[in-house]
Amino acid sequence: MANLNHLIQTWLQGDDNAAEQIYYMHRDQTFRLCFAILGSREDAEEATQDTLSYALLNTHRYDPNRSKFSTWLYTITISKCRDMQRKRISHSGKFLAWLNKSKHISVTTVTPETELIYNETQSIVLHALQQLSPVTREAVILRHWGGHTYAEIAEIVGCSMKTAQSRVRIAHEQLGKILNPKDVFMIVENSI
Amino acid sequence: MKNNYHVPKDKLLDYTIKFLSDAEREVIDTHMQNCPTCRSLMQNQEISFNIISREINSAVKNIPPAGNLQFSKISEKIIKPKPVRYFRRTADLIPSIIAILGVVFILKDLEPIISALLTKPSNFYPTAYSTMACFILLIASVEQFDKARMVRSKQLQNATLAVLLWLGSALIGLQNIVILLDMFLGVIISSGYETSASFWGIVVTLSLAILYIVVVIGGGEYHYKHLGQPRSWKLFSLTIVMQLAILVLPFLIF
Repeated sequence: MANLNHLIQTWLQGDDNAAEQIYYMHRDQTFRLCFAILGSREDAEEATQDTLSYALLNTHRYDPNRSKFSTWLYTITISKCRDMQRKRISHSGKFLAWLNKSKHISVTTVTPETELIYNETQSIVLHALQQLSPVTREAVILRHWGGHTYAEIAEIVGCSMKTAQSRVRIAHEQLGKILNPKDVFMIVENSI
Repeated sequence: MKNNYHVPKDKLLDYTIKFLSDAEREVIDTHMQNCPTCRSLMQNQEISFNIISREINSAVKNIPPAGNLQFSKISEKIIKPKPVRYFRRTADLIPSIIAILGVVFILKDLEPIISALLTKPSNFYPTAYSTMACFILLIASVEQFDKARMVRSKQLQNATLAVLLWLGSALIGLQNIVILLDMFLGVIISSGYETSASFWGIVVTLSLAILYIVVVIGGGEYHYKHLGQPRSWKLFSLTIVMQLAILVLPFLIF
């Protein structure tokens, strides 16, 4: 963390190598979060580059006394992923559907490459995740992958702590319904 | 919750997710001690929760790294030299213009400083120009307090204002020396030590001059190091407030 703070200071003073180091330090984690939310490698790559460019251009806005750098970065990541989802809606002609159903529509698609990347268990979980609404998906991923507290999730996604808790709860409720008993049995079997 | 009742399914999830208040948790804990059915359901709920949690973690963790994403693809966007715009908006010029006015006012009052070289009181009283200069420089520095550190494009603006404030406070510092010296010599003479006033005048002048040089150079280094940061603007304000206090001392004492 001390090293990261030093890199941030160095980058603020104009050292481009520091920017490069910050980039590679956070590239994979940012990409994973984007991929888990968007479900498409192409979109995730674009969102990752957008996120890191924005973060590096606006590093002076980051306040270490207010939050961890990763929390600040994931706030940008979530915002960029939402932009990407909006872009996808407008491109795929689902705009009217989105208007009607508001935030509850899930527009994420699972691409064939996803199937290749994951083993069977992971594929089942991913399929189930993609069926959640974007906001519940964000919350549950941040909770279980990022290990963020509800307070941090609230800060990252821009809602109250109760809402963050509620979203994780809804996600679990829905995942419990989406994953049929056969899938759960297979997951349990694989995990033993 | 009586024993012929069972904990509803949604409450089991709330319990697992720690979404319940302490009081609600306590009620469920008490109920489960005497209800094997709910205990068993709770265990299943927890297992299911933990499996989902672990599998989400594992699925996301195992996403292959984005090896094809390179810094070079965004570096142009980030590092590309921006067109030189010395002042982004006309409004950005205002603090510097105010500071220039402050420096001009303080220069108007500089003449009596020559008399500071003499070892007798110059009877210097700062005019409205000096005090007004202090207030003007103070406004220019306080105005910057809430502004976050500005990177690159505004660096010139910050530097201009900092130089003006530094110059202004250095000039006011000269007047401060004259005032302090005058007050000191006034006290010596009125105490009947007129013969030794010349000697003490030189000693005090030298001491104040050394202090002045140290403060001006040290302050300059500090402001250079923290250019554009709130701590730099705050130090400018504090310095000017202290200088203003010294400027009005003769009016308060004599």
